[in-house]
Amino acid sequence: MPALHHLLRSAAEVYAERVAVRDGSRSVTYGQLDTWSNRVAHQLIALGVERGDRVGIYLEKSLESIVAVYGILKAGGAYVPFDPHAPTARLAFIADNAQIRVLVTGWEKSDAWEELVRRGGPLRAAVVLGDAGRPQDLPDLPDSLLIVTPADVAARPSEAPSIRCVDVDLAYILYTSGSTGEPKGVMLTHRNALTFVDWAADLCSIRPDDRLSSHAPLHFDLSIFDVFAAAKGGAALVLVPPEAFVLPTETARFIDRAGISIWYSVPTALSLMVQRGGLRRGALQSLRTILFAGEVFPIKYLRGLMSLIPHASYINLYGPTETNVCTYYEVPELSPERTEPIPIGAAIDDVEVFTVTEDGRRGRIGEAGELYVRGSSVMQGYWNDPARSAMALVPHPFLEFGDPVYRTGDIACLGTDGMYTLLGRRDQQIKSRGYRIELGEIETALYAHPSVVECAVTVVPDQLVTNRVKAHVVVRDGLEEADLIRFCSERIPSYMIPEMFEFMDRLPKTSTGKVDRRLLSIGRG
Amino acid sequence: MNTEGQLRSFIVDELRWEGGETLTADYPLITRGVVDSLGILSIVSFIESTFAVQIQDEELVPEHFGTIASMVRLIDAKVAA
Repeated sequence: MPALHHLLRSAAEVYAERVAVRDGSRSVTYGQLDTWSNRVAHQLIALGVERGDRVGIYLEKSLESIVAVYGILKAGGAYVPFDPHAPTARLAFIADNAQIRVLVTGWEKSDAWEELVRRGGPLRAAVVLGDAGRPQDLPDLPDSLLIVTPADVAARPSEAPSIRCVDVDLAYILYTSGSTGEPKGVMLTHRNALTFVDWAADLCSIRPDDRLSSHAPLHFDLSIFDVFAAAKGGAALVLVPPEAFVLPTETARFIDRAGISIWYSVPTALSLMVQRGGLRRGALQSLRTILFAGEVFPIKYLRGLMSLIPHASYINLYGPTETNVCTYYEVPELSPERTEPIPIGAAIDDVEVFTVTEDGRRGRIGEAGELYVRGSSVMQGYWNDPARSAMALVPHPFLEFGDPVYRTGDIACLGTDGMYTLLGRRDQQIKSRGYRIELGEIETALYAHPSVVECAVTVVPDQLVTNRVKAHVVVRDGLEEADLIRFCSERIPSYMIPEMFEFMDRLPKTSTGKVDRRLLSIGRG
Repeated sequence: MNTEGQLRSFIVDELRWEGGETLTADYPLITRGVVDSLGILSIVSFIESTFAVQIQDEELVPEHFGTIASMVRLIDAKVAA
C-alpha cells in the first residue's frame, strides 16, 4: 500500500455505499468521496499541479476539507492545511514558504485570498469546493487570481487520474511553531503517515461499523489518525460540531447521538467532559476506545474518565509532528493513590526510540536522556530549511549506517517495565491545550512592536491546559496590554497570545547578562 | 450595568474578544468561535459568582449559552426563581 489515497480507493471498492464522512446533517459515502476527490484531482492537474507541488487547504474542517485532502493526494500533490483561524500574515508566510500556487478553499475565506495575493505570495488559483457562504459580491480580487467554482469542479471527469505515486512521495506539510519566530514546515511522506496509520488501525481493529470522531483540525497531526485510519477500516468519520467542541455536555451528547466508538483528541476536551459533562457511570456505551495525545493527561481527570466510562480502553499516544506518533501506552487500571503521570510507553511498529544522556551515552534504565526517534515514521526535514533540518535530523549516534534520526528535545527515562516516561524539555518549547509553542516565537512577535523594549515569555503550570503563557515586558510610550494583544493577534495564532502580561521596569538578569527566566517564572522578577 | 452589559464586558475584557462592536446580544458565540471550551467555563464561574446562581452541567447547552441574550434569559429565570 504505497499511498494514503489508496486507502480511499480500496474502501470505495468494497464499501461504496457506506458513509465515509458525516458533517452535521450532511454526509458522503465512500463512493461519493472517491468520485468527488477524483474530480478535484483532475481540476488541480488542469491548473498545472504536478507531482510534489504543494497545494494549500484553507477550509474549516468539513466534508469539503476531506475531499480536498484526497483530491490533492490523487493529483500527486502534497497538501498544506492552513489553520483557518490563524492571522493572514502567518498564512501568507506559509503560502510563500511552501510556494503554494493553488489553494483549495471556500467562499467564506474570500477576503483572505485577496490579502494573500496582495502580500505578494505566489497564489494564482483558488479552487472553491461547496457553495455555502457565497457572498453577493466578491471582494475586489486581483486579475491574476483565477477562481474555480464548484460547478467547474463538478464538470471534471469522475475517474481516478492516472498519476503514479511512490511511498516516499511527499504527502503533506504541517507547519509548527518555530523558535526564531518563523513557523517550520514538517515534511511527511505517504510512508511516514502509513507507518502510523497501518499500525493504529490494527491496534484499534477498526471495522466498517466503527464511527471515529474527528476532533483535531487538519493542521494538527492528530487528524492523520482519524482521517486515514477511518478509510483504512472502511469506518465512518464523524466531524465534531462546534458546540461539541465548546460545551462539555454537548461533547457527551455528540458522542452518544453519533454513536462514536473511537474517540481521539487532546486530553483537555476529555478533562472538561469529566468535570462538567454531566456523565454518569456507564455513560456513552458506544465508546470502545479512547485515544489521547498532545499533552500530559492530568491523572485525576484520566482516573475520573476511566471510572465514568469503564467499558472503553484507553491509549496514550506520543510523538512530535516530526515523527508522527512514535510511542504508545495502553493505560491499565489506575490506583486511587497514584499521582505520577502515565508513561508515553514503548515504540510502535517499524519505529525505535532511545535516549541519549548529557554525556552522549545511550540512556540506561532509570537514567534521564534526550529522546531520539528512528524509523519509517520520521519526517524528511523542514521544507526549504536545511539549517533547521540538520539540527533536528542527525546521524545515528551509535550506528554506522542508515537514515538520520530525529532529536525530539524531550527528556525521557526508560522504566524497568520497558516503558518511557517524559520528564521535561531541553529547550523553550512548551505545550498548552495540546498545541506546541516555542516561547521564542511569541517573544519575536512582541519584539516586533516598536515600543517593546525588552520581553521574556514564561509559563505558569496549569492542571487543565498544561501551561498558561505569561509575558514579562518592558515598554515605553505608555503601551498597554490591550495594544499588545491586538498587535500579537495579527501575527500569531490566538493560542500563543500570552494570557497574562506583567509590565516591568526592567527584566532581571543573570550574572552573564542573560534574562533570568528562573527568577521570572518563580515570580521574583 | 445590566446583565447583558456585564456579560458583554466579561467576554470582551476577560475572554479578549476582538470583534468589538459586532458583539450584539444575538451574536452566535459558539459557532463563530467567540468563546472556546475554557472560555465557557470562565463565563460559568463569572455568572455563578456575579449573580449568585448555580449552573448545572446539563444546563451547559447551546440553548442557554449560544448567545448573550440566551444567557441573560437563563440568569433572569434563575434569579426570579
